[in-house]
Amino acid sequence: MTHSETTSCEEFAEHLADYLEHELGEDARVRMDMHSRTCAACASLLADMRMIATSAAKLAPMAPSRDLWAGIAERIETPVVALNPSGEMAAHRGSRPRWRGAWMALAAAGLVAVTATVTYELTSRSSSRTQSVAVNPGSRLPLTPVSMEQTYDVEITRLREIVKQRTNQLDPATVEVLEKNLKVIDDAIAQCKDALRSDPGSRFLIESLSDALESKVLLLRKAASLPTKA
Amino acid sequence: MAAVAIIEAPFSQFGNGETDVARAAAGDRGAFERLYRAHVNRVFSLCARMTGDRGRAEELTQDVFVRAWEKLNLFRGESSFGTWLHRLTVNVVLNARKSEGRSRSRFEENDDDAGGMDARAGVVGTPLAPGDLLDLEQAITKLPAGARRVFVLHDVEGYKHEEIAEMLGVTSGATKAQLHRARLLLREALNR
Repeated sequence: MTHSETTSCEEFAEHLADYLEHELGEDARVRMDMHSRTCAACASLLADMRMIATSAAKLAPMAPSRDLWAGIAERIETPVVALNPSGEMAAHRGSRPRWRGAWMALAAAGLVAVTATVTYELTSRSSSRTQSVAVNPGSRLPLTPVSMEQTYDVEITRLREIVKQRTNQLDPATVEVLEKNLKVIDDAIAQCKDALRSDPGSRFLIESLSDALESKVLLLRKAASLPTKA
Repeated sequence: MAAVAIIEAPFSQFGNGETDVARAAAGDRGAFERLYRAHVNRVFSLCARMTGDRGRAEELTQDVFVRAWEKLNLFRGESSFGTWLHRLTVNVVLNARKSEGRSRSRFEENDDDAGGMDARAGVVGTPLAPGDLLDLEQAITKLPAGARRVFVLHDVEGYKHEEIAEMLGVTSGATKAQLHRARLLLREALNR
């Protein structure tokens, strides 16, 4: 575009992006200015584009629908157990452990059960528990199988009762899948308990038991909230 | 950068953000939880707007804070924690996009689908009704993925085209084109 030429609406639209980015030469910019002063439609377009950009910068922050801390705390409190080059076990903070063999069945059951939804009740309980926790880099939260089991058992019993009352409202095939998954998890829980009797100090076994119990809670919670069959 | 100014605001409110960063880097989960509470909405907002999916954004927000916990020892304090966390969030969202199903990515990255919007519409049209920001928020979620990401990073978060181009692995010319397209699509959506 040169200064002496007039700008059509099509040319205005074509150069609008560069105009808004202040990347047009002086002549072209002046012609765009002139056109926007004489063409109501293009002036409106220009104003709208600026309004959108301005409004976007003022958008308020959004909040998640639930407290996400419980899930984060769980993940950062569970060390990854890996073998270092010398063959010794080394713990690293971060992701959940990766298991092999028979534990894959439990992991699969957990995957079936785990949902992204955590109830407010569990969230607030976990949040309040972790809020006061302050540990040194090398230390870990003390895990006691008995207290952990007691905590989960309360929740499991409550959820079990809800699911039991809802059994007739659910599709039989769904109930069958649920029971099969619960059986897998219960087997894993039993194996952990047996092994812990021989090796009560095993952190791996304690955490495995914790994960199995959690899987059971999540599965039951999901079952408790399933919609009634049509 | 507007985004940095916004995300750093909680520190001034809490007053001890830097102390909490140091404590969290030393393994103090309580301090890290305070950092989480100070920053979660900003992180979630960025995830939600970049993905257009609040459920997915909640998962990604958790991923961001787990990653932050894992990498805090690498935080040198050369920028504010808010800036560092913000950039980490962008990386987590973009990496998640890369690792997710290729069929869906191909559909999204192609960006030919405008989610029911006419990409050429709005070039010369009726004036934009002011509406409210909720309408804009909703319209952003309906943008094609590529245009949405660039729009969010540029107009909402305040990144420059050169920075966005580097993050996305494209040219700044491409991000400018996507931004313009996004604005036109939003104008059309808000005019309906």
